[in-house]
Amino acid sequence: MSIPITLEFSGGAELLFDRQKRHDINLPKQEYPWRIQELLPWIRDNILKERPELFLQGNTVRPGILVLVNDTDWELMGELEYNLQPNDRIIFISTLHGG
Amino acid sequence: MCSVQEDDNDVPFSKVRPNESIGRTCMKCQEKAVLITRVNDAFCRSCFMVYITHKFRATIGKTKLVRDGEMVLIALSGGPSSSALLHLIQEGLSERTHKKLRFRPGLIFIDEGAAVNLPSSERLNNCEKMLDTMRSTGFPCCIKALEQGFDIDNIPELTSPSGTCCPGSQVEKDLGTIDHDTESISSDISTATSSVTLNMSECSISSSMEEPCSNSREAIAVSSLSRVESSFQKYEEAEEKLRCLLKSLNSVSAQEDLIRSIRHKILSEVATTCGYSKVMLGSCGTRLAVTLLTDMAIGRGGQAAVDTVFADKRYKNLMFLRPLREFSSKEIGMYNALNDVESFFIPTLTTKGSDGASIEHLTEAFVTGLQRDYPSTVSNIMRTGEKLSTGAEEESKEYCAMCQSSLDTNVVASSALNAVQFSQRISNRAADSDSIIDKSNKTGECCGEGDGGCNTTRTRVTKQQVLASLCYGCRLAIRKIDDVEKLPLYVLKDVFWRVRREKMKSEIEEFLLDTS
Repeated sequence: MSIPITLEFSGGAELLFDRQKRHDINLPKQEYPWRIQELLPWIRDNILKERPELFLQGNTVRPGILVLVNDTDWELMGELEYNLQPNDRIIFISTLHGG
Repeated sequence: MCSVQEDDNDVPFSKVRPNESIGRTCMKCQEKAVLITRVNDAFCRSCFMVYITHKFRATIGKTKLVRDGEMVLIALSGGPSSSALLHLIQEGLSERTHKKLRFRPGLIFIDEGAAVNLPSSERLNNCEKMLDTMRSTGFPCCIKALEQGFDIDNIPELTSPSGTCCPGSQVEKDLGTIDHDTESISSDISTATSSVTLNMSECSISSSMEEPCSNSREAIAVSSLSRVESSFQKYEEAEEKLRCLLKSLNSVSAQEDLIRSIRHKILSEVATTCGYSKVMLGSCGTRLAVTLLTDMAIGRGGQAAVDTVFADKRYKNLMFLRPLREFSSKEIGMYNALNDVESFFIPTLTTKGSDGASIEHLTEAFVTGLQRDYPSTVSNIMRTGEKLSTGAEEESKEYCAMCQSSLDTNVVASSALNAVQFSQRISNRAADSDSIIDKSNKTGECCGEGDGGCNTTRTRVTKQQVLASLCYGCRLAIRKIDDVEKLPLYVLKDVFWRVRREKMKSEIEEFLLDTS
């Protein structure tokens, strides 16, 4: 069974995603649970349109981009270790000047 | 020696490991936390709001600078920080607040689309969105375009419609008022522009300072079609000038610096003509920490302190306040996300640029990168910045013609500045040390001061004269400019005025010597 989740990009991050802020996606089924750690490369390979280095740095998001999981700071959810649940809403907000 | 602890444990707090933070509760009320702020403080939603509101009011309150009923101009960019600022102010002024804020805000948005070559349709769109946001607050508001900075001092009527904060005043009435609202304005604009290519600046006229409660419809009607067309040329020209000037600068860092200085000039001009004594900027702490370090790197070390303090007093009779300086960009982002505060994305020169696109951009990458692993980075930079002082603010009476900060170039012969100038002179000696001076004098114009009867002509000022009137940072910014006449008129006028003063002084001096 695939996992439906909602991704939102704002603060300039949407520029890298064809200026589309909201993406409703279905993560394909896999044996072990989906974590943000796996979600990020998936985003890069599937919906990111350009300049991955402006979104990702190493295995995590670029500093200056806030991540909210269901309106909660991802630092409280285990960051990269967080196990995605169906219908989760993940928001990426760029706080960098000029996106 | 004053040694701070030299033990090995004197390293900054690094971030708490993520798995230790899972499921933490609010440090105040033990509810489920929604974010971690500062170094390691977990807050629930309501405690976070209280914390933010309190910090905002304390920042304004403890300086006791903003008095009851004072008119304060709020500078909006549409970005997250200024949107949060507007939201905080609206909350603070609302009836349900226990201790209300008591100043009277006015809003201004400066459209900088011309600087980044934004298509006019997009600029129009941005302006309309901002106008909607600003009008929904019920505060008086106005929109300016960055290129209007070039017309300051030039065309008096430019500022007069916005200068009338009282609605329905003579100026606005004279302009032939047509009753319509924003939608019809945009249709007006599109008809106006079907014949001429669209220039964004119409929008800046469509929205002079207005008092939405009573006469907004009348005030907005300043944008009657004829006016749009007549002012169309003027802005087109200014926009061209702006592009031309930016193009002649050697680096993106210099362009950013110049835009910042023109923006401040417009803000101070609008504030002065409309009777505001304070301007609030939405810069948050993270942004200011970046500014502080950037200033050091671009030759503005002397201004690093005034660029980041709460109250910037460099302008006469006007104060720039930075009430969000205690907030990190994360707090701002979370505040906006949790309150559904909408902010617009406005591209800048370095949008989608690599880290090295400009000095400022590089500094930002540096600061945010450090901040991720060491959450006290920004506050450390800010606290250090607070201790900076050049000691020159009080005594210096000379101001930079461009950025209005006190001149840092009047220094002793053994200074670093003179060393730099000396080596520049040596390396340029063969080339153009003297040929820069433009000797062609343009005659036939009055200086523009007074009634025009002074019989003086506005001669072209030379690059050297301009440079002499600028602070070191501004000198660096325009170093590569080929023709100083490209600079905004307010700069040239100021320089010209100084040159004349200097001349007059020397003439008087001779006279005095003769008679004595």
